[in-house]
Amino acid sequence: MSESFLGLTAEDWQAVWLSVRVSLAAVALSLPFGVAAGWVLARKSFPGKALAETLLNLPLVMPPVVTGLLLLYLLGKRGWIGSWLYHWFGLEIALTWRAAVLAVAVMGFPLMVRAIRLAFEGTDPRLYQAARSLGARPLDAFLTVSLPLARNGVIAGIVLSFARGLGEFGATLMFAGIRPETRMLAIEVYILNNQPGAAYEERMWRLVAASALLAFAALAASEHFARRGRRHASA
Amino acid sequence: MRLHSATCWILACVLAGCGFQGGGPERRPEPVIVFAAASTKEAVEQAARDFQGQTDTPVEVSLGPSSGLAKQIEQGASADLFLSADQASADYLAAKQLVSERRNLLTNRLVVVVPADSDVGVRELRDLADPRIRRLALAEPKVPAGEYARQALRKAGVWDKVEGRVVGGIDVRATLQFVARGEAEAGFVYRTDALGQSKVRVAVEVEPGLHDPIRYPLVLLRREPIREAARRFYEYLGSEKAAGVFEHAGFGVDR
Amino acid sequence: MPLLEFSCQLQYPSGFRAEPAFVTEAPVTALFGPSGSGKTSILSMIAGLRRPDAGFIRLGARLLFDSRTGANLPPEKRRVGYVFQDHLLFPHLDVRGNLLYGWRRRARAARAVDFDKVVRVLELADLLKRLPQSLSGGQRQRVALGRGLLCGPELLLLDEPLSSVDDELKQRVLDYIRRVLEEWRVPTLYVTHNPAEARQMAGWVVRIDQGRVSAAGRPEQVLTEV
Repeated sequence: MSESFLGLTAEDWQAVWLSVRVSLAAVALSLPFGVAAGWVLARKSFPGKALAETLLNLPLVMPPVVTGLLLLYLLGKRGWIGSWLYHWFGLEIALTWRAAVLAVAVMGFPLMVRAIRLAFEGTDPRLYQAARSLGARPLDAFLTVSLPLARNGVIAGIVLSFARGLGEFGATLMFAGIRPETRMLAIEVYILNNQPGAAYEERMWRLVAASALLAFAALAASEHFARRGRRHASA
Repeated sequence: MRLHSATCWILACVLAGCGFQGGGPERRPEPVIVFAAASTKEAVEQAARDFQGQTDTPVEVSLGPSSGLAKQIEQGASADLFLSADQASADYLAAKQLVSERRNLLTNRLVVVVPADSDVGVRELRDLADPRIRRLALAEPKVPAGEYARQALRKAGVWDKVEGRVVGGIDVRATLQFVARGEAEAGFVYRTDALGQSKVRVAVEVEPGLHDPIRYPLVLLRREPIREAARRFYEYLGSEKAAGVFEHAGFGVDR
Repeated sequence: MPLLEFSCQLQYPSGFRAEPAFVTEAPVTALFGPSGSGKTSILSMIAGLRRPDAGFIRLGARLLFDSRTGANLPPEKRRVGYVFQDHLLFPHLDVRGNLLYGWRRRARAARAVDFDKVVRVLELADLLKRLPQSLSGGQRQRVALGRGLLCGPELLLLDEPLSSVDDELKQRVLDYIRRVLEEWRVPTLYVTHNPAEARQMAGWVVRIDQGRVSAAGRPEQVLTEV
């Protein structure tokens, strides 16, 4: 406890590090889907698009606890999909670190897609066509032209959903419960606030400071990339 | 058309606002605010309804883990009464000079519950080490139900074997739900919690000697001034009528 | 065998219906007509970026599109070098990256056009490390031309190549284009609304009016009444 860095003890850093790890894993998991969804929404029109958009944005406005509960009913050991996964693959999701990652990914997904979609909308689709005409197959043209042109938006989406993940509480609590590997910053702060005693109080405030710091850094980074993206697009 | 409907909306909102304020302050007595351990939910709510029917004094019940409620009271929540599931939370408030009066009101039993259709065959605490118990739901540390459970597991010598499988609930009812949904194969709750949830059954009645006595202190909190209605509800909860409600819910009444 | 056979129908969302049809054997053919007559759409259909409602497109022995058989080669397999009117250079790649984009995607054995030679003929050596945003209109035109050429096309599509070039530089850009066509002898479809340009560049002129071919022939035949 005596060793400290920036006023945080090793134990505090562990909570920070856990939050960062879960959030990073969630971003890594959702990025391919986020890029695909952002691209489809920016470029394609299809019947039911409005409905798809609404569903996609649902976690943004639905109470996180409700989202967590739905995840539990879908992917719990006795859930619609979860029971099947458990039966055939022995895969348990609910109440494990996987659940925390999934909850964080779902909650951050709308933010990620929004940023990526805007970035794709800001690039000229004819550049993709030019690449095709020069001999690039669809995926090749997408990876070498469309995606690099949208990269600042993609980075902004990553940072934004990552930052959202650091603060995840409700959905994670419902879906992942409180386990050593799910005690991310917000949950830790909540638990500490429920525990009478000065030592808990002190630790809680240190973690509050740590979350504020992390959130600030993440937002600053996202702003930075968003600005760079605008400059890039206007050039 | 769109402008028209927008105008209608605004108008409707304004009118609703007027109606809301125009009604004038009805003279309703201020409610008595009770902070109660999650495990007492149905019983305290019933007692509050009875009291309200008798005296016309409304009672507002706030539920949660006793430890968390104690923290909220310390942080200035305007509660009149506090019904805690352990002594520690009440002691904590006493040390902060926030307790005016207290009395032991209820007793309870700690039990191990399993999903109603469980086939693991848990008969004593040692059975919890069975690898088929993949997750064991406990309330968090400091939450009374979590503390009692940890004491019992340690004393029974199985804590080391189950510690890695523990999943925490923020209060005893959240813990109960993990078992009810089948996400945890077993969990520690109070007997009273298990009675109200048909999706679980009691597998083990935990030997009371394995943990601190489960006594629920009722605290009349120090507020300036202590309101008459609050004191009346404090007395009411100790009455024979209230005792009947608590006993019906499965609590022991500390007479 | 004719170099290019084109006969397609295309319904625009506005209700305008285009039904251009022509055949050409000339090394350089001008698609000549007022703006809005549907010249660029023809290039898009040849490049495979726009799907005709019906008809067929044949380039040499290869059938690019045929609505009756359902044949429709994807753009990357059509081997046409499309030089867009607004160039569409890739803003995230420097000039070298732009030039080599199509070249790298050709099989090694099929790389008929030499990079260094293109750089020399189009005088791009000093621009290779620059980003497209920092180039003038004339420079961009040269890069776009080089990029289209380097993908090793069987047909070059030039869409109003002088439109974004300052007047005093137009003749210089024309000279570059002529030099390229002489050097590599790639069959070319040259879109313009300027009769002088058509006369100067093409051996065969297809005149487009309101989505239809209104005349086709040698420049002196088609362009006399203009």
